[in-house]
Amino acid sequence: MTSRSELDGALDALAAARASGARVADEVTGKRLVAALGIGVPAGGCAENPADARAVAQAVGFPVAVKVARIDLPHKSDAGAVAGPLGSGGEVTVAAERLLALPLDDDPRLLVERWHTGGAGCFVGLTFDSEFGALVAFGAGGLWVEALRDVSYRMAPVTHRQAGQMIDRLRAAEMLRGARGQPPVDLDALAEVIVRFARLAEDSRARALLVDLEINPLLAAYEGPMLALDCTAVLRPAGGGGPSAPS
Amino acid sequence: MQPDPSALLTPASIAVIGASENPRKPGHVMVRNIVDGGYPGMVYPVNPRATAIAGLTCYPSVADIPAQVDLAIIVLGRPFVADAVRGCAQASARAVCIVTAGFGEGDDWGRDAQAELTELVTRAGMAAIGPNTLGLVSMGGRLRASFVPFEHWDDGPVAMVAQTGVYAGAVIEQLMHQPYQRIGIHWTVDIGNRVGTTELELVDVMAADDDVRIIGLYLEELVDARALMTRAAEVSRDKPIVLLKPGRTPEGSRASASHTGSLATDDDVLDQLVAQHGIVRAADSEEFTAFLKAFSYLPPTRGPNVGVVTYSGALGIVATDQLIEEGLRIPDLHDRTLAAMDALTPDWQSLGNPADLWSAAEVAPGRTVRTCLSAMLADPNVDQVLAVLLAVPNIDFDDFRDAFAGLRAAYPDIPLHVVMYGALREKWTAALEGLDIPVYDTMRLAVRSIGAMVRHAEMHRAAS
Repeated sequence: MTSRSELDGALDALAAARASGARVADEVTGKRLVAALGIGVPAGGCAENPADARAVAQAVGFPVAVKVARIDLPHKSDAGAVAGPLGSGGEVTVAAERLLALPLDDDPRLLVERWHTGGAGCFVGLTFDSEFGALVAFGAGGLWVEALRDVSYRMAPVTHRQAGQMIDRLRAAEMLRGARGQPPVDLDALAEVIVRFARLAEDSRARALLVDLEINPLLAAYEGPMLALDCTAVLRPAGGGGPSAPS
Repeated sequence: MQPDPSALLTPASIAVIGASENPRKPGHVMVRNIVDGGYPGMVYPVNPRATAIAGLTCYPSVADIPAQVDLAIIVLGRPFVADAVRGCAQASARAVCIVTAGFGEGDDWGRDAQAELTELVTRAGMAAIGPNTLGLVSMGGRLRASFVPFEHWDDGPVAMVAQTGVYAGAVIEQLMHQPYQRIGIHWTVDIGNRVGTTELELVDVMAADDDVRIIGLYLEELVDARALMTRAAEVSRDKPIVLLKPGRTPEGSRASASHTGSLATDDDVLDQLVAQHGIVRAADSEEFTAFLKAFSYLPPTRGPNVGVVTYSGALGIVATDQLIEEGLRIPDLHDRTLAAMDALTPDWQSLGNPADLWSAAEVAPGRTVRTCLSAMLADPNVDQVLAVLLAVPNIDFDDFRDAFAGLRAAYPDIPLHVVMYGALREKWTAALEGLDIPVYDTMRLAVRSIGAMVRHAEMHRAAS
């Protein structure tokens, strides 16, 4: 499911981002880490102009999302930096032109990805707490997590059974099991995502690099694999500052 | 040298540095309390300007004491504390208790001085509590090393770590002074500003102490919370742990560019984590003492089904609401239970759970307690019983105490909780003294305590 070299490569990219002074890794780098943990991400690729964006879209298949990949822009939908669902090459061109006109500093990359629906929005997070060490959070609501405050916490590591308990204790568990005509989510597969995600806490390089990492939204898909639609990796400032990583 | 926290609890000898001839000063009260408390070892007051204090020979310094000092209690002005700790290290004291305040909780000077104290006790390998501590009481060591004059103290199954200074001291003093429904405390330590001995080390001592059955943690902050949680999960299986800890405040230093970072400062996190590790969390000091009382007095519960006996239909409804809200169950009663109660109630009344027994109690109060409460305690559908009594003169009866003593003896494995309303409340509470039947100040505290016992049982069932 995952290899040490993939994880090392992803952590190298995070380290490079941190060395460049970034506080938050860009989405491409973050998703590389998530994929290295064995968690699904949408098919996609980067483009720096509308024609390339069209080519990537045609390769992954419509509909697609086009997003600004820029570092330090974690709340992209708030900033108007996400377009989709886009159903044709023409729509991709228009959206790409609009996004490239935003002030993108020195990183003009766009991320073009397959657009996915058909699932429940969730989130999974890992934070390195100064008191409790590595904490895993799982919640429902995706983008609305802070409004709903329906979140489970555990100290990492998390077993498959404990991950299941994290899901079961949510108010939203009933919704995930399928209710009111909604199809059910494969809770076993969802628990496995939590377990794999929490495993990152065991990696000493990850502990040294990250303050927290979050997949939000995590699409708890009705069919097919669970997918990390967006992720945010908050980097530990180089040379100290902030809470220290527990050993 | 590895610090040994048990040196705080059962020291072979004690020096009080900063002992005073002035009976109003803490340095005198401390010596007095140790002596009056019946401490069996040697006590050495230290004060260069006195020859004898409280009838004991006084020494100019720790170095002048002609024998080994196990525990040194420091009651000096803060500029003199660090030197005194150095002297204790040189004299190979095993533990220090720094009563003096004005360190980490105070100004910049205090914070710097506290860092120095931490270094000194760490290097010397001494167990240490304070600065800014009320001291400790240890029944195992026959030691009352506190400037709070705990005149009355009951030994018992509880051990407690407090980190809330005078407040915790006042709470314990109040608890020990109440005429009824006290909690026996085998030892309690105020760790103060935590320069040495931690709550985690003391939990280890509690785990190993056969005289301790219940653990109370009264903490303002958790240090090394991860290790404490891991240890608590093991210890709380056999010894319930009750935690009072105010909520977490958002940490200013945290980067919270992600939702996870900002959510993790939520008090909900602490609630979930402590529950996952078998710890029962109390919301306030009233709950804290109520939970400790319930665990002290009562056997462990086997489940969440509560049988409610009430002398008031209205209070029965209030109890039902609160029990359900607490996540407990109010089961249907067994036919035998209903039949036993039916014999005492008028034909027009149909009984259930809660069982409203007012009309029976009006006619035959003693038989009502004996027959109906007994049937409820014997009911196989019921795990715990809550008795909501109206303590009013027309249903008082002579052998009230004997009736309840009989119930406790007949059903030692079923927790029985009591709430009372009425003019005879104090009289009836006095009558129950010594029977290990908790009487709560409010219905809410009774319900929360029942819930705490159930949560403790369920957390450990879920973990096994």
